[in-house]
Amino acid sequence: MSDDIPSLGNPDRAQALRRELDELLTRDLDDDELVDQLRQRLDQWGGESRLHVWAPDLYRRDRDRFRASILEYLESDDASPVPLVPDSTQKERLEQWLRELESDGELELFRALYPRTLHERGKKRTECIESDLLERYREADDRREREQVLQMFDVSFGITAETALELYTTDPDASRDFILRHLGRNSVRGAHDYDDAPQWEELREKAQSHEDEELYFELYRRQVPFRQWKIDVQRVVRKTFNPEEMPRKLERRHPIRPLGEEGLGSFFAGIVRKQREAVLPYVSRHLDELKGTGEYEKFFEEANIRSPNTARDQESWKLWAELLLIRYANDEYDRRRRWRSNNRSYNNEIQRVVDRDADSREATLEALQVLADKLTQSGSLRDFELLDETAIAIYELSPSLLHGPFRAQLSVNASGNGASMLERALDADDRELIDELASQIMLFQPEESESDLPDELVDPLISRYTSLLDEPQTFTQRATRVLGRIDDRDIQEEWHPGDSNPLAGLFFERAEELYIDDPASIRDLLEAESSHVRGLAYRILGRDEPEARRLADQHLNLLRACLLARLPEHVRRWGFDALLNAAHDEDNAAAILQQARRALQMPDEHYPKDDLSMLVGRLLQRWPSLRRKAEQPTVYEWMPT
Amino acid sequence: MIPVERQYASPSSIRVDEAETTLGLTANQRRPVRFRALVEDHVFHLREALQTLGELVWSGETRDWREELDLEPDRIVLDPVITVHPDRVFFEAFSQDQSAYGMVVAPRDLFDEEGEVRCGTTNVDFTAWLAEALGDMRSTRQTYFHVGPEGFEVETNEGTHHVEEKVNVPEDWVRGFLQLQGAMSMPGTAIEVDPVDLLGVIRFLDQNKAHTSPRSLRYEFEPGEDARVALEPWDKRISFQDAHHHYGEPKETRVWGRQRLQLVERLLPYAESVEIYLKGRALPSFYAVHLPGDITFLLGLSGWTGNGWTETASFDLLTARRGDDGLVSLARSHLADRFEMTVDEMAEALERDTRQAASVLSRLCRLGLAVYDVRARAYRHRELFEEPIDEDAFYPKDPREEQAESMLDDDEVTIERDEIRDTTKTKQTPEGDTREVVYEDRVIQGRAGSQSEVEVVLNDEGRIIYGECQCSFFQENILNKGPCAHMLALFEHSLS
Repeated sequence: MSDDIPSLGNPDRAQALRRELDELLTRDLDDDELVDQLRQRLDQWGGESRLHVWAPDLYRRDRDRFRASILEYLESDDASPVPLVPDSTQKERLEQWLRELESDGELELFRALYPRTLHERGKKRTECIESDLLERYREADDRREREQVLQMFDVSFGITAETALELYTTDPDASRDFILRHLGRNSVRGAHDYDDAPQWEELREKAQSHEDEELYFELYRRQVPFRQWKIDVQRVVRKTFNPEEMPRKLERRHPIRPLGEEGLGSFFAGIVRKQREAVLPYVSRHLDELKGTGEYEKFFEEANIRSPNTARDQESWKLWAELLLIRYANDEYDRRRRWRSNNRSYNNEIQRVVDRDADSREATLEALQVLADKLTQSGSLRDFELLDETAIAIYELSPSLLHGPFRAQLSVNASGNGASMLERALDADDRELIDELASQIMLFQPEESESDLPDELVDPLISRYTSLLDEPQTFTQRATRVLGRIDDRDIQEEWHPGDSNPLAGLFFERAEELYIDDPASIRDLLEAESSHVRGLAYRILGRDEPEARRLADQHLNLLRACLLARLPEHVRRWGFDALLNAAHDEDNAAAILQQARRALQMPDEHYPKDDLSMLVGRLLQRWPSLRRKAEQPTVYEWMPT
Repeated sequence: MIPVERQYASPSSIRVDEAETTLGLTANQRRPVRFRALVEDHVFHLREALQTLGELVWSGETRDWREELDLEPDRIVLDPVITVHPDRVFFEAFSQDQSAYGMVVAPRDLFDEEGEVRCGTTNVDFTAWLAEALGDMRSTRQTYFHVGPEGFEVETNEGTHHVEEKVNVPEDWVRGFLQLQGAMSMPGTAIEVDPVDLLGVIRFLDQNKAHTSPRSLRYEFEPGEDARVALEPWDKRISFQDAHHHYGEPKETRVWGRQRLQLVERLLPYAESVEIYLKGRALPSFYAVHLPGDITFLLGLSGWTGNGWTETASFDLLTARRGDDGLVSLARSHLADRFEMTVDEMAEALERDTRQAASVLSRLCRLGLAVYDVRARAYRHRELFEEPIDEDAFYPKDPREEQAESMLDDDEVTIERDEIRDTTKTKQTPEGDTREVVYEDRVIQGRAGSQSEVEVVLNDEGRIIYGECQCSFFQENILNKGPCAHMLALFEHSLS
């Protein structure tokens, strides 16, 4: 132990602290200053171990003045628990102070200090607290006094059945909330220290006869045997006629301990089949509890998701779609870890419905439309990708489904998914789908070998789009639609269009001349959501040629956004070039300059301010009349002395 | 829960080909509003505003608060509403987590209308997919904008997929929606700022993560200087260039909920100006982003998420909460006829004073029957639900109201002074000149319950703008959580 830290019970140190305390109190300090000073000294002296010295003295000196500070200290993290082996002086002084607090009616201070006077642990600690509590509770004359006693002992401990029963029997209204707050592990069936079953049951019966639903159901959830719970749930499901009440009724009966019981998957599936959507919110909230037990899979097998044989109406399909989402989309952890397998299962489910209902196109359409509704309403559309065979199955059933919500699930990848769908779309000359797939294929960035870019995806598209080059306007209309579908979120950080993807090369480089001849396409590119596509427009408008300058002037209102929008650095530089082209007269230059100066002041660490300064400089060089006073060049002439 | 019937003839859709785009928003069949038009200009800016609204609806939700409210996971709370008025079309939505409110306002002269227009308010099917698909809209294509109950099939040979279901909307959520809108009509400070400066705030917050409290925006108004904002906890100050204010004395207003300002980031590079409306410390703040074509995106930030909002927002106690139901009904009918009315116009129509007119209009907002236009300072007719809400069930009495009522019942409230007090304030004009403005405030002093020195000051619209009391509630909260029971009792007594 260091010399600076007083050892426990060192009387000299205690005396020294008391002297300092006396000296502090005689100084003309306001309350906050005094408490600050005291805290500093407590830190030096090993704070908590001196609690018995300073706190009672401070309290006795002026309890009104120091109550809040002492309380704050006792309830703060600074106040560490009292040592296991207490010093006798310390114990005595604190116990004496505790008695004082009780007789002064200082309930809050008593509650804060009381746990610090206990040196027992575990069961013994509980016995001690309950003994002190019951002694006073029994002596209390009326409800107000009983409430005060409960307030004093509202410290952390798990109440025993015996004590809870006595408190509740004496005064149910005064003790209900206290008991609820102190129900611990020992009140949960199956816990190692759950050994008072008959008394807990008696308490539950008393709560029921007192119409105390809150306590009754809290105890029920802790103690009901699974078998009884299942019977009760079935009764609720059978007898609840208002579906809105169902989740609440089931929730308040739901056991607090983990489920995992054999047969629960079938049990949940059974109640879902009986009451469908009315019980789904409840079931979906608790399905996680079945994970890892085999019951989870059993639930979905038996709840009809695997074979919706009876599904013919919209309601049945809603249930099917809902279960599909619960199973494959709702679990954040599973979504990442098991995405590939979940996605395969999702596709299988759609396939199964399409195959099963091959004879009833109407029913299949209804099922997929309901699924599309659920996916769009829940924002889960992008959680899945359609495999080729599924996409084609949907397309053959109804092209509009694939043009609509399921379009977001169309997917191509380096292993060739999407090739068959593309072939199908090309055969049907379905421009909507061809353009959608092209916008995805364009983002492929082969890294090591050419084989990363599947020929069966790229070649047919190159061939289709280059065949349009003879009709420039048709080409640019299609090209801007393809480019308009690019989503920056799907772009890898180091994507350079055209570097090694010939399709991107066609749209981003080879076609530049065509865009500049079609002003509408330039506007389309400027209005695109992708910053890379807007970058293409900036690059074209920044070319050193009259048509580029004319178009830059025409689109200045959209072009100016490149000063402020979030853009990759190289795209912003292209934007600056285009702005220089747009500044062909003083008015345009002044408008650009005004916004550029403002952008210079923007606190954006990632903004290429050097390039922006360059833009400002070039504008001022070209339009000297726009220079501010401080921006006029100063020419120093050498004067011979 | 409030049951809302969703009945759509088909899902909303967007159809795009080389020459045309048609945005078909399916209206709830139970509330058949009709509007079909060609968008004549500013398609791009309209698209950006609508996509921002989509982001507001579909972002920021957390599963935790849904579980708290006992909602199904992953389910939109209430479809956005669209209102067609003779001079404008506006869309409104409230985020799932109650942190943000959005309104897109587009003037009718932006559209070349086709056929009959049926004004009114309806819910529209507006899914996440649709919000994303709006990205296909381009000003180079003819863009048609259709709102109607009949539905829009993309390819008609598939038959109609009818959507019909009942959703339960949590009262807390709707109360949050209405209270936030109600806050728009509160007096406060308005400043016009350059979009670049607001963008600076957003970028700074994005690039610097606050690890300690407070995480507020502290707006500062120094006489003779442009308004500015301090970003806490760094105390980073950003000046709003040329943002004039009228304060003759230094003033600060702190607001919360700043992270959701990011919602308007995509609009700011194209914006002409931004107006910021502050309603007071810890109260909601509003940002009106003005885009070309007179399109406005209004963002309201509550400063709280989930239940926090409705628990804390008892500032609606600042106005008279009950009143003559007949008068409310008459006001509703006037507003429905004229679509938009100022307080003065309503006072004239009702043949009542402005205080009563303001009070009845506030009540219409509380009931979801009207919405306040912060820019025009007028109220607009907009019925959020098909059936009016049950006010008593929906707005249970605040315990302070009950205490106030009990003081009134026990005859424990006495008014000792009730007079009009002229308050002269020095204001600065944008040109830098100073001028004096005289406010006629009504000062009421008296006793209520155990408190002998209670004071409330009402503005000319009968709203409590200041007050004092010696009780612990007031000493602890000032007016941050609305007036104390004693102030309410004195206020209610003054109305009788």
